[in-house]
Amino acid sequence: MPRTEPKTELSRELGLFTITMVGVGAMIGAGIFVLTGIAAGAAGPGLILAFAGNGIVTLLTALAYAELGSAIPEAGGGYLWVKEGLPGANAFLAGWMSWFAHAVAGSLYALGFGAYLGLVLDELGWTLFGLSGATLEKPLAVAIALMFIAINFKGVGETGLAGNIVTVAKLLVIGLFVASGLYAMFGEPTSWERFTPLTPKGLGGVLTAMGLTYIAFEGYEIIVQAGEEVRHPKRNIPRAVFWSLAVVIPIYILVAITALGAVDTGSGQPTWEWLGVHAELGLAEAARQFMPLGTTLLLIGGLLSTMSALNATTFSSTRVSFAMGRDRNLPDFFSRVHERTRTPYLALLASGGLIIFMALAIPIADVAAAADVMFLLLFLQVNLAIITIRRKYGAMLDYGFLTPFFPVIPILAILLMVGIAGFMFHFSPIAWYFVAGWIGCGFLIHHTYARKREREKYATPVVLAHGLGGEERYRVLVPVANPARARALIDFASLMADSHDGEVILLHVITVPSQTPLQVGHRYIRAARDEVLDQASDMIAAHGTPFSSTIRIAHSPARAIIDEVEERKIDMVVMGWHGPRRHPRTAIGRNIDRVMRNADCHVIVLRADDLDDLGRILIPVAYPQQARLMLEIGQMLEEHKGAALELYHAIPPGLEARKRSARTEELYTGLADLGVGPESNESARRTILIEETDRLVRRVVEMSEEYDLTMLGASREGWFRKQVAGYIPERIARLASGRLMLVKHRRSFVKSWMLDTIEFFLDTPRRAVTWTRA
Amino acid sequence: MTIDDLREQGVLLPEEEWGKHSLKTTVPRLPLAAALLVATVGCLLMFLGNGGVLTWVGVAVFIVTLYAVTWMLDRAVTRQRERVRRERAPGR
Repeated sequence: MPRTEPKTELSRELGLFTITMVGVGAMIGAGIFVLTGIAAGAAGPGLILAFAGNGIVTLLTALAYAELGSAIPEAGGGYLWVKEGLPGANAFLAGWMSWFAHAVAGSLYALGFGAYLGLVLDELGWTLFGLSGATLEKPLAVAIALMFIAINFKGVGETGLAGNIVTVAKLLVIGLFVASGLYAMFGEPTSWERFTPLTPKGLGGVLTAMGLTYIAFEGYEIIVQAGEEVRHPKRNIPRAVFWSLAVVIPIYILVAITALGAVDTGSGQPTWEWLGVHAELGLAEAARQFMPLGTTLLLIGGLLSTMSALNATTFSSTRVSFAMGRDRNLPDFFSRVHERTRTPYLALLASGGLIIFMALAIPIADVAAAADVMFLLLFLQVNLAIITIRRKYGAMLDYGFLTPFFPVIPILAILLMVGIAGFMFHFSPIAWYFVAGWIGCGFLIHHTYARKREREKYATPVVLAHGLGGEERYRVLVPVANPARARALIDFASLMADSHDGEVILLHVITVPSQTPLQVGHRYIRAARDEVLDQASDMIAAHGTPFSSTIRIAHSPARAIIDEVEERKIDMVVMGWHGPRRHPRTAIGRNIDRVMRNADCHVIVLRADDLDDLGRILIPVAYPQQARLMLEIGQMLEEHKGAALELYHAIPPGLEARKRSARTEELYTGLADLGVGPESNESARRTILIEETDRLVRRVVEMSEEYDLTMLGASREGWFRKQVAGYIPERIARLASGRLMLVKHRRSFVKSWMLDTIEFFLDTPRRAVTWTRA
Repeated sequence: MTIDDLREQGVLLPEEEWGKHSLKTTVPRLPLAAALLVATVGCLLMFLGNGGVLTWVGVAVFIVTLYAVTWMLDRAVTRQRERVRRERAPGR
């Protein structure tokens, strides 16, 4: 039975200044210490331009964070918004990518730490097992990663005070670096000549540097993740996002200027090249030249930064994989908590393993590129999510900030991020291979594992099941609300089941309003069994078809039917319809529309009280594939009810004779190739009536009056078909009198995914509101 | 994810306020567009300066514009809260 747990809320203690400093601390960290040298080697003095460009690109995404962080200030941040704003596998992929991005960022910081500590050993002239500091970089990286895995296992997190001290220490070191560098530059006028040429590697180098250093701008994710602890979050979260960037971007530009301008290589080698050669140690080596106790201070700053960043990324990657395990997206062991330390030790081991593997597997520049590409893709999803959230839920949310030029800004951000991420392929193909491999694995895991488990978690509960067996056989599901009106459905379902040697499953859904907990439905179980299922069971027992019955409790009948289809691997759903309703936004009816759109099986909608005296059946055919299931059903009715099938195809008037002939031949061949219905072109020619008309709907409605049953191939999806055909079958269904059958063929996974995605993005807020209130 | 999930998180407006609040931004759009344009021009100057005087002018322009943009966005947050308050109690 579902339980209602009290919601735990964090106390709101962080003011504007503190939360801004949290963002600044997160940004001015290991990224700037480790990446400045590498990025300078890629862009030359154009690194200044790269930081400014990244400032603009990141500001565009920051606007999305400010808007969503103020409207939905929950701890989940970007992952949560993607879950709310994007369909299908996106939420899983957001978590999956976030796990990898944080783990790879952890590898980067572990490698940075290894390099800094290696330099310390070299400075002191110490060796370890006869090895110099430079050769010990990777072993040291593994050692520090193991140390933080152990620390996180013990549950010793970074305290707020320690975090603040580290941030202030980092700012002091950076401030001293910039001040000393500028002092040195103003004392030596030739320093300014080191910036010419500005882009020795062209704009491509600048773009590469932008991609490489993007990770150093992602601190606003931390700001919104602390959203539940911020005072006046609607006001303070967006302001903290903006001000943290206003602090950080100029600092990065100043660090780049001093690193590039204040160093005299003494050998004629350009400074940027010299920094590139020293890579992750570039900043520390630069400080040696112009800063009192430069290398020592930079090394201390670098070690502190990489350690705190590694701790944070180990913690966050563990937290993401733990949450995914808890949400049943990953195996349950990810959410297992150690009895003594109360930490998610298996998620920690998996994340730690990933950190160490990436640190050992590829060079530091490629590690940085992989982390950057992953973060760019994550932010890209957030920029998509802001568009759908505004469209779907905008009217219901209390925004503290609204992005200007909407949706141009998020679209521009997406394009720029795609450009930068794509360009990173030139710099590090290996990074992209890892990223693509990881995302590919994510899709596979989601499709084969996580999707099913997610469904199990959110499925409507089965409260009564009778005669359900595990045997694999053809299954026809009949949702029954009122047995008095279900005769035709049961009659048809048992014919279908018998012809496939299968069984019928009777489903009754006890619906409760969305404001009411599902457990309230339990009090109606006995009435449902006695008044509905027992009667329906008697009707089907008379046919001698194997059957079983089940009761579900749900807020929506469609949801329960879709859950039953997925859980029991149903092959066909047979639903009743009692004629058109005056609902402006549905084709047939809200529940039937939803089942037709989302159920992964054939769906038959029947408007008939019985299936007796079926003399002539009309089947309008638009194209052969649409007719396959209708012909299969028609043949069965022909055999058991003695009905005669008559096919009809309409051609627009005035069609050129050659085109008309080609079209009809194609139709005959297609029908003959189906394997059901006409066996040859000739018999197809005899069976089908071809007529010229530009009033298809009216003509079929007129004809349906002369037939005992009209079968229509239901439009399979909403939006797409609506644009192409204007819901032709549904329009006929609403206008035609007499017995009617709508037939929807099971659709392929790819088509289903594509059309659901189109529909998701084009769904309007009004519709969302209508559905909720209904 | 559904509206129910958002309701559970407590982030939805009361139902009677749905659709009553403007979704137009409170950021002054013309000055912001101008500032973003100037910031881009700043980047262009950095590039065209090729490490010379124009580059430093570009850096200065960029940083000054960055603060101008931040100030505009900061003011927009305050204005947005005031607007929501006005929309809740019109006429006050």
